[in-house]
Order: sequence, then structure tokens, then C-alpha cells
Amino acid sequence: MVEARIEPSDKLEQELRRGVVVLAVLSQLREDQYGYSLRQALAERGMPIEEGTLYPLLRRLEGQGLLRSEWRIEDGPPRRYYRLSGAGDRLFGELTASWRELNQVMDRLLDEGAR
Amino acid sequence: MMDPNTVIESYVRDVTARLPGRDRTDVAMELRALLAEELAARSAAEARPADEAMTLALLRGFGSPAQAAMRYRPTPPLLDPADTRPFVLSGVIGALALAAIVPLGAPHAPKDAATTAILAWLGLLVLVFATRNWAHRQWPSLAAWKPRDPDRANRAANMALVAVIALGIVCYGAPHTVFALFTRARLPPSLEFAPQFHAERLPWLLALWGLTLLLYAWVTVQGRWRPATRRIEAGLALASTLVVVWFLSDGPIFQTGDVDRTAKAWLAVIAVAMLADAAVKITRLTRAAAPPRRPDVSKLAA
Repeated sequence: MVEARIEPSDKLEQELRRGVVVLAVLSQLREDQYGYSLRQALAERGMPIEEGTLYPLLRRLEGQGLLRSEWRIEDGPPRRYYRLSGAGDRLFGELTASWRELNQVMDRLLDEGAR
Repeated sequence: MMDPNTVIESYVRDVTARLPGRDRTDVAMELRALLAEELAARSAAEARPADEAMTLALLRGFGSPAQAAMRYRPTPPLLDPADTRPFVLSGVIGALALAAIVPLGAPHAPKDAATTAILAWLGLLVLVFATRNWAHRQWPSLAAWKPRDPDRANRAANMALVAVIALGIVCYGAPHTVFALFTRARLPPSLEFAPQFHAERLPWLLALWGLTLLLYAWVTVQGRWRPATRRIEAGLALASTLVVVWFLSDGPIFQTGDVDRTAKAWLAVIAVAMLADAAVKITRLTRAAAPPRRPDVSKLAA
């Protein structure tokens, strides 16, 4: 009974988080990161993203021209590093503005609802 | 017990096998490296060496190879989920109709003819809906909704219908002339109408077709359907259906027995379609006579 009530809310929370995954990823790629280090960085900042979601997402964003990448061999195995491209940087600016606007609207709506 | 690297290698192979050839090597290199790093982190966190169970737990979190490949390169669905209802309805109605019609319309066909026809119908539906879905993705303007005025006459379709009805009247009214015109030969006796049918029953159908032709020509000129023309259309459809049912139940249509039986089997199929068409037209009339209740705007304002 309790599970039946929890399951939809988990799903809805996942939906909420899914909407901001791209923006969260772009925010961390103003400097070079490889997949695992990016996942760690996001998790440390309170945004854990499953590896099965994050790694393919990086490839898709690169395919869309929003990221550029290169293979590097430093102190360990070869790793593919990602960074925002020019188009990615512009999109990041736009999405950040949209997010802030949306956040304000949601704050107003939630404050009104709480009254 | 499998070695963790072997498990990872097997997973990477299964994922990349589902990707286009040009992406495989690169994705495989990256995925292999990332999974190894994730596994090393998990092993460090649990303070024990990685084993098969730990590797499988990691890979289960990543999803099945098919799911992982789908995330790397999403492929659009073959059918638009929004088309599920029309697809299922078309499939079921078509399959039921074929199951009923094939044995009736082709009595000498092999036993599995209906099954073959149903499978062909389902295949055709998949092809049609998938092509439509693809076209909508390629040219989104095709999928844009447009308002439709149900009373506005489709002039091109009406003209085509007028031509088809005129052709039917000529072919059934003067079969000898039409046959001679196209084949320069006499109509074979097997295709001769039974004299009584030709003299007493066929003229009723030709007269109804003539009236239907005049109706569609009139609506084409007017450009709109009116309640009166809709009522006449429904009446003519019902009358034509009743005449066809009369043909089925009363005496031979053709002089030759075999031809007559086959023709009547097909006519039965046509009668069912005509009955459905008449039912749709009559239902539309009754719905138009009782328009849906709208909210009282004055009460809402108060």
C-alpha cells in the first residue's frame, strides 16, 4: 500500500531531475572532464546521475555539436575528455537564463500555493 | 566464475553491435575505460577485489545492452504511439472483415487464404503507419492539425464519384456496347444478365445510381452539404442497399449458374459495405439533429 503511493512520486521526481540533467552537465563542462570525473563532480555537488544515462548523453551532446572531445593519455588509461564547444557555450547561456526565469516563476507559484 | 574484464568485454561487444559501424570502435574504447573505472571505484568502496557478481551489478545499473545502445543512438519508434488506437482498430476490424469476407467471396480459395489475407493486411498496416510516421518526422508541416468543415463539399472527390457512378451506369446498363467497345467481340453468354433481372430489377439500381449522380453533381456545384442534401444522400444509400439485398434474395442475376453464385457472393460482401456506409450516414444525420448541449453562457457570467 505504502509502496504504491511512493512509486509514482519517485517517477515524478525522476522526471523533474531529467529536465535539468543537460543543464547540469553543461555547467560542469566549462573545463575539461572525462565521463567518470564528470559523474563524480556532479555527485559531489548533489546531482548524482546514473552512469548509463550520463555517458551516452555526452556522446549525444557531442553529436549535436554542443561538446568537443579528445582522447588523452595522462597518468592512467586513455580517457576521452569533453568540453563545451562554441555552440554549447551559447546554449548553456540560454538554458541558464531560461532556468533562472523558470525558477522564479516556480517560486512564485509555490509561495502562492503555500499561503 | 568469469573474469570481470571478460564480463565487461562481453557487455561492450553487445552494446556496440547495436550501433552503426562508424561509432563502434570509439564507443567501445570509451565504454570499456569508463566501466573499468566505475568498477575500480566500486571495488575500492567495498574494500574487496572486483569479481563477476560486482561487475554484473554494475552493468545491471547501466541497463541491458539494447537499452544502453538506445541511449547512445536513440532510434525513433517505427509507429507513433499516438497512432496506437487507430492502428489497433484498423487491424482488428480489417482482420474480422477478411475472416468473414474471404471464405464468402472466394469459396474455392485454399483453406488458409483468410489467414494469409489477414497477415497481409496487418503487414500493409505496419507499412502504411510507419511510412506516415516517417513522413511526419521528415516534414512536420504534414502532421500539423488543420480545421475541417464537415459540410464543405470536397469538389475533387465528388467529381471523381460522379465519374465512377456514370461509368457504373453505362457498364451495367449497356454491357454489350461496353464489352464490344473494349474487346471488339460479343459479350460471352456466361456474362449475360438473366432476362428477368435485366428487365425488372436492374433498372431500380440504375435509377438510384442516376439520382445519386445528380445529387453529387448538385453538391459539387453548390460547394456545401445542406441538411436536405445529407438526408437525400442517406436515403439513397439505404435504398441502394435494400435493392442490392433484394438482388441477393430474388432469382438469378446471371444466366450461368457458376457466374451467378460467384457474383452473388461478392454482392453479399458489397451489401455489407453498403449497409455500413448507410448506417454511418444515418448516424451522422441523427447526431446533427441533436447537437451537443453547450453551457449557458449567461448563467456562467452570473
